Amino acid sequence: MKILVAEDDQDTGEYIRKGLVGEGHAVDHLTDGRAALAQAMSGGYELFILDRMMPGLDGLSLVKSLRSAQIEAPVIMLTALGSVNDKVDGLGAGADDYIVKPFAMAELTARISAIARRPKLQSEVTELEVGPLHLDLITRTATREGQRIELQPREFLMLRYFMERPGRVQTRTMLLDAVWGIHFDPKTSVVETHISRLRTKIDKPFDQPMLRTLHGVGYVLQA
Amino acid sequence: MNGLLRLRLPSAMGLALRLSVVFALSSVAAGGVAWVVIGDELKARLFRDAELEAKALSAELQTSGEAELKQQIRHAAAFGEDFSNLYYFAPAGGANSTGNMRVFRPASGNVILRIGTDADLVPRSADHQGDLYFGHGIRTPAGWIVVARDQQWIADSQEVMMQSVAWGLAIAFLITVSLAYFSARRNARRVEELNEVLRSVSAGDLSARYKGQEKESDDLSEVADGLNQMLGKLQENVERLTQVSADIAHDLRSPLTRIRLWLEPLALRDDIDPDTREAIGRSLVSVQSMSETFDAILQLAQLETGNLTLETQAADVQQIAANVVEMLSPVAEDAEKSIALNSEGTELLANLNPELVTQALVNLADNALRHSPAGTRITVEVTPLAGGIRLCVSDNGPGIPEPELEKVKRRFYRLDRSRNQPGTGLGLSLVDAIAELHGGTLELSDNKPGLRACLTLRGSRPRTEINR
Repeated sequence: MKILVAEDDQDTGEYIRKGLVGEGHAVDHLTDGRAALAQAMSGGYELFILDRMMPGLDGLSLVKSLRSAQIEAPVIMLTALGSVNDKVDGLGAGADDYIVKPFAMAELTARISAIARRPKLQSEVTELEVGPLHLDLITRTATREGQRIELQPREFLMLRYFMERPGRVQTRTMLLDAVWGIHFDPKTSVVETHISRLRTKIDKPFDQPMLRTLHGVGYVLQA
Repeated sequence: MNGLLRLRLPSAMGLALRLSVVFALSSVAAGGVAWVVIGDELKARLFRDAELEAKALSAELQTSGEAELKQQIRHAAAFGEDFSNLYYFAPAGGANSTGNMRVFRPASGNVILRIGTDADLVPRSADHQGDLYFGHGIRTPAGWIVVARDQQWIADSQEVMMQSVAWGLAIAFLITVSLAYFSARRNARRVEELNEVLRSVSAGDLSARYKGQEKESDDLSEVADGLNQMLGKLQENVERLTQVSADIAHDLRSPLTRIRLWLEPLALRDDIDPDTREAIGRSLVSVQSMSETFDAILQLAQLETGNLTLETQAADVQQIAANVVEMLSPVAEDAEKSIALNSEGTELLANLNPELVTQALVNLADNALRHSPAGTRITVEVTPLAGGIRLCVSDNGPGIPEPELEKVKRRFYRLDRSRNQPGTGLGLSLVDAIAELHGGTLELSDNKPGLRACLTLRGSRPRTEINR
């Protein structure tokens, strides 16, 4: 995907650029809002990642300018202000998603793939498979190496989320949103507890652990 | 609002009435003085009139003689048949007197005559018995001449004067009272408008202003101007502060973002030795917790300043509570504690912000889980109230000592025994702010043993209750 990143912090912008290039995207990075608008007009971008606060032109105005110029490519807003109102402002201005700093790169790439996937109608998937692990979406049971694994509702949701994104890092924030639908930090070890329970079921009885903890970053399910 | 207006009027009316009574009393006093002064003046004038006429008659007697005098007296007496003017001529030597009165003991100079005692009317009239007359007597060689004027005239004049005063007073009173009433009502309305502005401001709307049109300036309009100016300043300051905190947020989050983005790829690498990776992981966790504290402060600031427009929707509070209990059950179980919903599964709809109320409830339940030993039982209850809903989280843990109950709602306040436990110290402040935003309260009480935290959401009226 051809992506334009407008982020006034040189380091942050560069890291985003590198990270996205590593994911196979073509990325341009600019540090000034006005320059970003000019660059965006020259066309061809499939996604914009805009910082909310920038010299020259702030992210909100930039989104509005893009939309009034009929540039409809999706916009992900990065912000230092993590409040509900700012989120509403950002989405109201025409942004498609909103990420609060500091964010994990994994989160940004997850949002990008979510947006990229959005328009396509997913075909009816009834089962998922990652290595030896198999998940039946209808009976909501998993099997590994022929062994049947019963799952609690939240464990099922969590495993399904991981299995839909094998090999990709999932942060606590992403799991809270996906499994419980909450967008605040509950401060409790609810994610850790469920991860540990899930691990007891899908990993413990077997030789090769699949659900890994990346300390300080998140979790990843690997074959 | 009308109720307040009606409540206020009597005090303003009372003032108007008191002023009017003072005004009336002083008018009556002035009337009394006028009564006396006019009475004296009229009395002097009656004496002088009587004297002048007596002198004229005496002159007539000298120039034209007795017969002519008698003729004139008879004429004048006939003219004043109502006995307003009395005339008396008693020839020297005791011959029959002439005139419409008979004076028993004529005297010279000003005299006051009482009918029946000092004089009689001719012909006699019972109606005038006891009436007073102001007269003047002159003794001439030919006999006594006495002329008297009816005192009734003074009484009549005084009555007319008092009537005019009374009418004037009544009209003035009416005008004063209605002026006072309307001005009181207008002031009450302006005070109410000012109150309305103050209420909006306390509710967090700093853009509220007094908009009343002031034709003339008075103390109230000065207060209103002062209020508007103050609010303008306040709004400016708050906006500046918001801008400053936005700037701080930006400046602090940028380095946090950088640290995170630097460390993250390292944490994901497999070729780093486990100790280093562990250290990187810990750093990332610290970055995360810093930014969480930061989020909490920003959110709290927003909730408390009322900059947040609360978006509410009809949500099933019972369901929210059930979700929270379901979410935390495994956490409680792993810590050898229990959490349960202790209310019937009845749908309970209320207008609220589900995300914020969920957050508040999670914070309360999390508090109970965090600050209690193994074996603690935590109960979540939902109770419908008239015009609200109550959500209570109770535990049978160690509780909070009575004197600390209110303090724990303060920002960053932590009990000594929980200082070494993780947490921002902002949880309860957040719950308190969320309660307030919903027009409710957070009450902490002793559960004997343990803590009972109740969130009362007053603004949220249950609309329907359907038994499942």
